[in-house]
Amino acid sequence: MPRAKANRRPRARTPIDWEVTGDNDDVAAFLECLQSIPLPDDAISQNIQSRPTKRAKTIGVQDSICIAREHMKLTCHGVTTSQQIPMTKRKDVGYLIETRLSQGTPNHDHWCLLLKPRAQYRGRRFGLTLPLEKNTMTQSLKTAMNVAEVQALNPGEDGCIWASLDVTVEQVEDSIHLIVSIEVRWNESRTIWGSERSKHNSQQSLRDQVFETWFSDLQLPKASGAQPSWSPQDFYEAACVPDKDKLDAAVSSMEVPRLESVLYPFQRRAVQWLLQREGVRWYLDTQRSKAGIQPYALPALSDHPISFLQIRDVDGNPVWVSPLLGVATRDASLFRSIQELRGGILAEEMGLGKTLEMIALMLLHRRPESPIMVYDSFLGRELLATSATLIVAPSSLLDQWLSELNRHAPSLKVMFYPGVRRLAKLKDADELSVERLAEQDVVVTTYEILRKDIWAASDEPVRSMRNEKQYERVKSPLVQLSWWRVCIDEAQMVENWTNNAAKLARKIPRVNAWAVTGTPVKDDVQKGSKEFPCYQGRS
Amino acid sequence: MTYKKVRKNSHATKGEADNDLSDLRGLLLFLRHEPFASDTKIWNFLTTFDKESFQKIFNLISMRHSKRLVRNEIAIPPQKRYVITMPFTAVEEQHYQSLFEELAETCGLDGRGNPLQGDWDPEDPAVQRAMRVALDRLRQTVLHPEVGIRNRRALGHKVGPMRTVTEVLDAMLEQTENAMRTDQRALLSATVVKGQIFACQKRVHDALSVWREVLAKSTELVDESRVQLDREIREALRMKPSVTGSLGEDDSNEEDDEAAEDAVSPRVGEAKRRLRSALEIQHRAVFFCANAYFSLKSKEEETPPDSDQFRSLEKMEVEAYQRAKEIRKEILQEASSSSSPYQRR
Repeated sequence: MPRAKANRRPRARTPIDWEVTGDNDDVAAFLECLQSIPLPDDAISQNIQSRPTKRAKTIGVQDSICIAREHMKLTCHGVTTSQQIPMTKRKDVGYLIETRLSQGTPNHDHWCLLLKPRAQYRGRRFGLTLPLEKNTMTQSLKTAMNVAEVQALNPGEDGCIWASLDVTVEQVEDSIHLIVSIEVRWNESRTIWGSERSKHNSQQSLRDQVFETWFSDLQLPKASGAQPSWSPQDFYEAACVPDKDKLDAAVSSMEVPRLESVLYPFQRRAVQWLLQREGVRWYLDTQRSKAGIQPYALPALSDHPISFLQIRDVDGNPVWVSPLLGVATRDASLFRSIQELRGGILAEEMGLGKTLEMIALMLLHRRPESPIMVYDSFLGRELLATSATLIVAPSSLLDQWLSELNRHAPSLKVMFYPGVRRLAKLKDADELSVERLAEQDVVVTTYEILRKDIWAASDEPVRSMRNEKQYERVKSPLVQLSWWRVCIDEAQMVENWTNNAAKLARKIPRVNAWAVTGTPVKDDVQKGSKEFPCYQGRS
Repeated sequence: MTYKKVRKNSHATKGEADNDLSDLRGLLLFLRHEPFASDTKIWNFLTTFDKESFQKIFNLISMRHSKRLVRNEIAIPPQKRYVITMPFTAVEEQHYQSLFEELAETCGLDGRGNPLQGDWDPEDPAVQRAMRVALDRLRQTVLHPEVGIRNRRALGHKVGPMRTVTEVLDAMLEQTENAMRTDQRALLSATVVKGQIFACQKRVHDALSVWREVLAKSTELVDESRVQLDREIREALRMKPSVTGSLGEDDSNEEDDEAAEDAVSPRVGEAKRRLRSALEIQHRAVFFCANAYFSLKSKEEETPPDSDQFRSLEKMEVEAYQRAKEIRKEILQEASSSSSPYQRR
């Protein structure tokens, strides 16, 4: 493996270096280089465990997890020095000294370590090729050295894998003993996003190597080369089916105030599930014969967030890693938030009453008393809070929504939002002002309107102007309200999720978000028509 | 080895980016389920390799009852299925037939299914590919003339989907007319070239008569195109006031208005293009005629200088060159009028 790598780079030295080299000059230059590295400020705290990286380059303390620790012993014979070399110990030498493993040409279990200074080292150049002790090569060591070759200094960014190199030099008679310690470290992630660098291919391949070498049982099956097969069925199998036996006891008593229709038992379970996803639930206290809505904490799926697995670092401390996200952390609570999504996908089969279930949810779970203005972290603004639910539907289903709302829940205050362009044309602008929309229970609009409103929803570009701005830019009310709930209906109608309607839908400030669709995964029309069952010639 | 693997993986993930899961990703984007939704790499990993996490995520955030599961809890009204056979309308029939013939030809067959050439081989991959495409397009056309990318392209780019048979008919008429115009233009161009060949052979009289013929036809064409352009412009003007007049009724109205705004100018543009191409042909004919007059004039053995014939030829030559100049001006007028304001700046 390393040979292939060596070929990828122009070799700095001639092939003769494959033989064990290192004359006195080289050794002396190497020692000079090593001694030029400053000792850690307090030499006492050389406890490897707590050692933070010392270079000034690193801003702030980047906690890293030690994955593996490897050592190499190398000996350089026949060195003549004018005076005894003091025992020299330096940490984190990777920023000045480059290391590489190479395999002996004639003898394949004969390994050498190449040492040379990095480009930024100002002192005398050197090149040392030292043999490893026989039979000390392991896969762990190989991987560790590979990491050291690719990333020998702490990049100081989240999620990056790197190696720290410590070197100890000692003279015994006319030979010099070199002990190289390698620690493979994985920087902890402090956000769910991961850093730019951690997404590079080089880091990706280091992660793959780390998993392959030390946690091969956790590795994603991608390396096995099996072609992944995926069918829409996978989604339908994954989707949750509310447990009948568990839920029916409480749910059978569910009464939806002001709902003109009676829910089927399975619809009640569905509504219970919807409520739970919004952080409340229907409860029944048989002793006190009380029933109603009460707060509900989603049960932790398990003690670790999705895609995270527990491993032990080299000292046996528990650490969480996610092969999927490519991150490691000691505290998985940060990533627990990724599954604290309020809302979800309601994917009932066609005709089972998705609309009715959503209406029941609107009636049951209202926005609790809250400050008038709330801060929306997605847009980074203070917004007027409303208890209204915003429904986005295809234009063809607009009338159906309005009539269903009227039929099942005539008490709800419903309004159709026609888009800023239409608002501007209205003589009485207050008719559909932000405040008016906020007073509603339900506001219905279409994807078409979303598409047209995008220009009024994005922040205006910052530009310096000679004069004061003359016109106030129109703002879409859709992004001026913190909606209690946003619900996109027949979401599969949004064919392309990079289009403007989709962009705005993502942007709309909300507390709870629901995607309602009978066919969340589908083949498109073009494909569909290929499956036209039979063909009768017409000529 | 490692590197090889990595390369392979990156390829595999790229290939998966366009699977039929993009809809699901869209939902996650809307729900802001991060980082799975925004990070393409992670999403691809999730859907290709990490099925366990995929299941956990969607088990957590999505819910589905199928009818089969809840059948015992509901009384679904009995469902009836009706199969209604729909005959083609005359327009659709015509469209289908012409498409059928066209596609049969691409497969190397005539309209009755007989090979056009003796060595037609049904096993030939190219023929089979053509047949598959043909089958696809015909099936799609049965549903609607615009289903399928190829069919849509064949009917020309339109602002929105075609809704009525009349629109399809219009498109068909337009296409046929365009095809005719193209052929006509090609014919006239070829005739001009024929005249040039005569001229090279020093058969100036033959050349002149050919060019005059082209001139007559192209002049006719120019007049026709002019009338059509006028009509289109008037039509466009007639549509415009109605756009501003009917504001603020309901949403669907607005949609139509927008569509009209977009649709009107292309039609005028099309008429302009047609006029321009007619003018180009006319210009060539006039110019070559002038050329022929000059050639005749300079043949001293036929037309001695200072003869009446010489003078009349000279006059015709000058007139023809003058006319050619005017035609050129007209052709370039639009380009110059749109660019001159910028030049004056």
